Amino acid sequence: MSKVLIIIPAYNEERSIENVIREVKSANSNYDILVINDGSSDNTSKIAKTCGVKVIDLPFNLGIGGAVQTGFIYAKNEYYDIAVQLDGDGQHDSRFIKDLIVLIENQEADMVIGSRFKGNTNYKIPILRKIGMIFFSKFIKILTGLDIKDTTSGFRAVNRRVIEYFSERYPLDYPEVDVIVRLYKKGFKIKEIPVYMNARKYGRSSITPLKAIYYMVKVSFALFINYLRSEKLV
Amino acid sequence: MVTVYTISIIFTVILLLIIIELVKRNYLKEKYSLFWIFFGILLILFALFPQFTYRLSIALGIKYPPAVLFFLGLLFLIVYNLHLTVMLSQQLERLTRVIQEISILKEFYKEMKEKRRKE
Repeated sequence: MSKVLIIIPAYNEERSIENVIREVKSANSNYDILVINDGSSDNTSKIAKTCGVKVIDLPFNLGIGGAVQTGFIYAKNEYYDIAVQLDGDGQHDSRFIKDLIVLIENQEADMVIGSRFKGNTNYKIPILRKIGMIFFSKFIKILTGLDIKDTTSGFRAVNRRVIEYFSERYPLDYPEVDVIVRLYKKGFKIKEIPVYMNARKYGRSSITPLKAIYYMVKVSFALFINYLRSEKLV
Repeated sequence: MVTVYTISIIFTVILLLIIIELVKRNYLKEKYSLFWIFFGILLILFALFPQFTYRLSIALGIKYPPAVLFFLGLLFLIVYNLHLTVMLSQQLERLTRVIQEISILKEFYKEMKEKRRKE
């Protein structure tokens, strides 16, 4: 059986983190859970610790990329075979973790993305997000030929080789779309499977229109640069 | 007569003094200060030998000779700023790495301490 680490990046998620941890535990008690507290100013860290899981506290907010990468470095150091990334806000349904892992274990892919678009899922997507998703999906298709619908999904599983790569290189902010092109360029295999996603229960999405525009421009530029990069294939 | 040249000499001398003072107080690393001192001396040379600026202005087709200095100064500042942002990016990457490694170690350290306490 492969050693699985569930990485949960959390920034001020005191209201949802306990539930998320409990659900992951009930999905499979063999998973090790690691919460990366990304400099939260609330009780996220305390609550996670009382749930009996490992918590790494970052001294200040590194951003989602820096937080998740901490998890990958840990996974590499502790010899995990598979790392699953799951948001701390309860959007991702942990019952689907096994579906992501199966594809990795069968070596059908190096990274598996849980998608809210493939097949029938019950998630209602905010319009702004939808526009962005379609845009990036097309962009990725043009750059790599890959058909990935939910490019910004933070619900993913990776194998040992990708863990090692991510622990070396991982973008600081808005990493989700970015790494798809990076992995593609490195010759890794990426797959997408349908999952259910819950609408976020607590807290609002941090995306405002101005931020959305910045997000689009920044990620597009990063994608373009990645495309130009000629890193040696592994 | 006060010209742009005398002003720039005075300015540069003050700049050099400030740089030396900053190094003395440990606000500026020697290796970066050398660069600024070199830059200051270059400025003084330009001011002492206006003929050079003058000839350069003719060669570049600039009618007002001191504008050559503005032009070169601006170019220099742009390039140096770019260099600084490159350094900043490198620093950010290293800082991030240090924070990540330390946070992991801290967790490990706490765990060890806890274990020892229980024994």
